[in-house]
Amino acid sequence: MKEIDPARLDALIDGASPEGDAETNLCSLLEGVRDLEPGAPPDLRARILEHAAKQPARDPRGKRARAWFAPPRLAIAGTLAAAAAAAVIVVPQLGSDGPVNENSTFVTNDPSTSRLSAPGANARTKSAAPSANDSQAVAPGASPVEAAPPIGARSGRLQEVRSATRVQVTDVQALSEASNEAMREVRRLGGYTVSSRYSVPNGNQGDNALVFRVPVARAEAAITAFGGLGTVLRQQADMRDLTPAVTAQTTAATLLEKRAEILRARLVVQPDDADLKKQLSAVEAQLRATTTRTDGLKRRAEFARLSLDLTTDGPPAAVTPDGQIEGSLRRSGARLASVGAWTLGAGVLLAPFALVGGAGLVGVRAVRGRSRQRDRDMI
Amino acid sequence: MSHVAVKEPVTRPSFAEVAATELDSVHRYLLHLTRDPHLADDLTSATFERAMRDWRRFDPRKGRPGVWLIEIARRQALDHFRSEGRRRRRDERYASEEPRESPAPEVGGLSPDLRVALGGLSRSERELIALRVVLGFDGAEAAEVSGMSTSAVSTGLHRALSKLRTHLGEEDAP
Repeated sequence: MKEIDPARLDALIDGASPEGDAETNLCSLLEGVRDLEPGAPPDLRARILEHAAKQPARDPRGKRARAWFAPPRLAIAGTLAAAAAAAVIVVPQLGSDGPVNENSTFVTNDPSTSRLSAPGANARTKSAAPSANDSQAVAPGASPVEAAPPIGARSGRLQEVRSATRVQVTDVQALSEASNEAMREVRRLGGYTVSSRYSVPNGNQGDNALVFRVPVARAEAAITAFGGLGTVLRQQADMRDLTPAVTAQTTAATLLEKRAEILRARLVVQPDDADLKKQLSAVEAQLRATTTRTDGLKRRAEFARLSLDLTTDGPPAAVTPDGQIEGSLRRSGARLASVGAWTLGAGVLLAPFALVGGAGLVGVRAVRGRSRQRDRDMI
Repeated sequence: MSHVAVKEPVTRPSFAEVAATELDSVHRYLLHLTRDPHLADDLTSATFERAMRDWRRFDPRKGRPGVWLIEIARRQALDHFRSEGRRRRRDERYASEEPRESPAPEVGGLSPDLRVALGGLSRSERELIALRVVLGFDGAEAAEVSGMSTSAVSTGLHRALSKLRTHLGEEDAP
């Protein structure tokens, strides 16, 4: 028997013209097979068609034709989409304290006070938060110690944060732009501008002394942003732990409150005692003063006070067209790093869902494969 | 010149139209698969009953109604073969009498030799012949129905037709 190539066989079945005797014979055989069974017998045909005619033309429920269950792939895609939505909601919350500069170094001489300083114009650093291995980031005379947590990161503590940054910009135009950018950044971080003293005595030179209040938890992000506005000439950040002071004031207030209650009780018995009244008035005044001080301390611990001096003075600024590109690149890099960190967080959050989904898909495929294999074996 | 792809809406035929068009195909497929005209009749009825119940699930965008019906017919046949296999095993376990021969297929019609030769093929081979040759399904459709790859369909069909020609004594032909 002359063998026929399977591809040619397919072509012949699909209607190609036969070539040669072998193919002609094969086509005759195929025709014979095709004509072998005439079709359904008339009685079966009549019965089925009569039954089929009763089927309503449209789906009685008026719904789009679809399977009663969602295909597993769609279900997995839905699960992943839900997980992604959850990640979109949750991950920004995890990072709501803003970008954390891991390179910050604090020199701590007083357990309640921390200081970060990049002194002098000769530092001429472009970074607002000097790196941990940058010796100029250490306050003069202080011995380096291990890196402290970022500003405002001590949970449960009340901290007062103050910083002063002096930044040189190229010209008056850059001064205006840097001022606007600083205010925008502060607003973005949930802070506000306390004051702005803009002064341009001539068309070439000027400065702007800005004071901002920024939530303590985001103070470091603001300081970092200030560093990107130009060349940092000087930078200083002080942090003071207000918790002991607030605790002391609260304790004093409690004692004064008790004292006042005792005096009031005694006044009920001796309402005409002038000395008691005088004592009560004094205690109440002290109590008010103490409460006011406590509230003030708490307010100071909520918002950091950040001073920013933008100036065109000083040696020629390093910001040139190249510098602008560098700055843009650095800002882009920081943003990219932030996006990368976010993506990594989302990946960590999504990984279990993806694993479960993938395992489910593999399982469904395996079950389907086995089922098909059983069917083939049966046939 | 820009080309704008416009998706044409897929028209959904009525079940009665599909039944009238595809009834013969389903019956011929089942007849090739089972080699038993009465069983083929029964399975054809069961197929259309099932298809009528599931008609709202049919999505014309996913394939032709003919392929959908053949898939249902195949499931019906598989169910029958499974239950038949269970029944036969039960009979063999409990019955002491001699196993009876299964009824021989009805031979007649245009080409008794061809029928006998087809009866010598395995069920799987007959199915491939039915799908590709009798019903005219293309390779992808036949693969979808039979649960095989397209190349496996092609190879299996080639093997089946070779056997068929052998049975018909074509090897002696010049």
